[in-house]
Amino acid sequence: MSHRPPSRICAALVAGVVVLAGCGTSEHSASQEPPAAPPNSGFQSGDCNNVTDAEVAKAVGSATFTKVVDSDAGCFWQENTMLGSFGAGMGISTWWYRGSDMDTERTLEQQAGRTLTELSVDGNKGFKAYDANACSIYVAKGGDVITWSIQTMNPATLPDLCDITEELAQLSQERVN
Amino acid sequence: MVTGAGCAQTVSGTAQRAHPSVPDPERSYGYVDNRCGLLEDSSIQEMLGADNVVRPYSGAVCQYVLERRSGADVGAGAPPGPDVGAGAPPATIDVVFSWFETGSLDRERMLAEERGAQVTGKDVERHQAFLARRDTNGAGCSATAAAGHGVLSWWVQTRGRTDTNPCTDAEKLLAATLSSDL
Repeated sequence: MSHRPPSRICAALVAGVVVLAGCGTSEHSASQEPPAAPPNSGFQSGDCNNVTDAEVAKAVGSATFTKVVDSDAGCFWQENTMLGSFGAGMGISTWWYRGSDMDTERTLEQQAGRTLTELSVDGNKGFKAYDANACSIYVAKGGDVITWSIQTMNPATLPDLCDITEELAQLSQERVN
Repeated sequence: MVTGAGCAQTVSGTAQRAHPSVPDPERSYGYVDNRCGLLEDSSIQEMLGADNVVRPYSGAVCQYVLERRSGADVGAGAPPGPDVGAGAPPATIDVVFSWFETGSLDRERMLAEERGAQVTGKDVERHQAFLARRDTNGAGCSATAAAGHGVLSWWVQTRGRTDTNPCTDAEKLLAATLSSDL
């Protein structure tokens, strides 16, 4: 612990030199944290990881899912089987982790007792994690991760859950690299 | 040695970078012990004056759905109990927490601006932060701060309603995470 402050001061000095030399054009090389992931090596994505409501509707067939969350982290489509608050949160979600370790999610999925399979989408490595009621696809690039997940209490009324998320992950990956 | 002449514009930028980033650089805010951003679900429910909470998704991103039985302003000391009938309809509040351990505040802010959010920079609990108001499926606002080695954010939305100010709630959650004891 006690060695950290001096090393940070060093980093700041080095950063100062770099900025002077480049007149501020290479700002990012001034990172104070050597182990940090290089910026901008991840995905270039947009709202809902560039997948439309119509494409989600097509992937789930006759079931109805309504987009209720559209945030900077990602989107969520609620499955229209909610009774009061029962079923709240069941549906399809997609998130864009801008600087995250996919292995953390792998560990969480393993702890949740899901089956894991490695895969690759549009040249990027990832994995899927599934059980009878859920299937999530995680794909990583640089320091970023993009996920597509479905969770439902009615898997029998839907197409194969992993077919749904794989289709959405595929569409998304074609547009974020 | 390279001269700094003509680079006056750079100086302020450098000062910001060299800003001793965050008060507690070694801290992590990820999903652990059934908490996201170091907060119990019950604390989030209480801070937002909701009657129940579910967390359907947990990880580097945590998603919550909360229900308020009546739209009454709990802060004004509204009586608890069943919906009084003619009052406001139940409100659904969406919350998304994110912890990007190698993320950066600059990248988050640039993205929020690109997406047309109304962005306001500020300090929250001695952390460099910003609020970003952008209404999509209701009034929505994120409060984002540089923290640890990365960046963390709380986003709050009153689903289907735009007559609210979710920035207050988002900032409240952010301040609670940043000031939380381990």
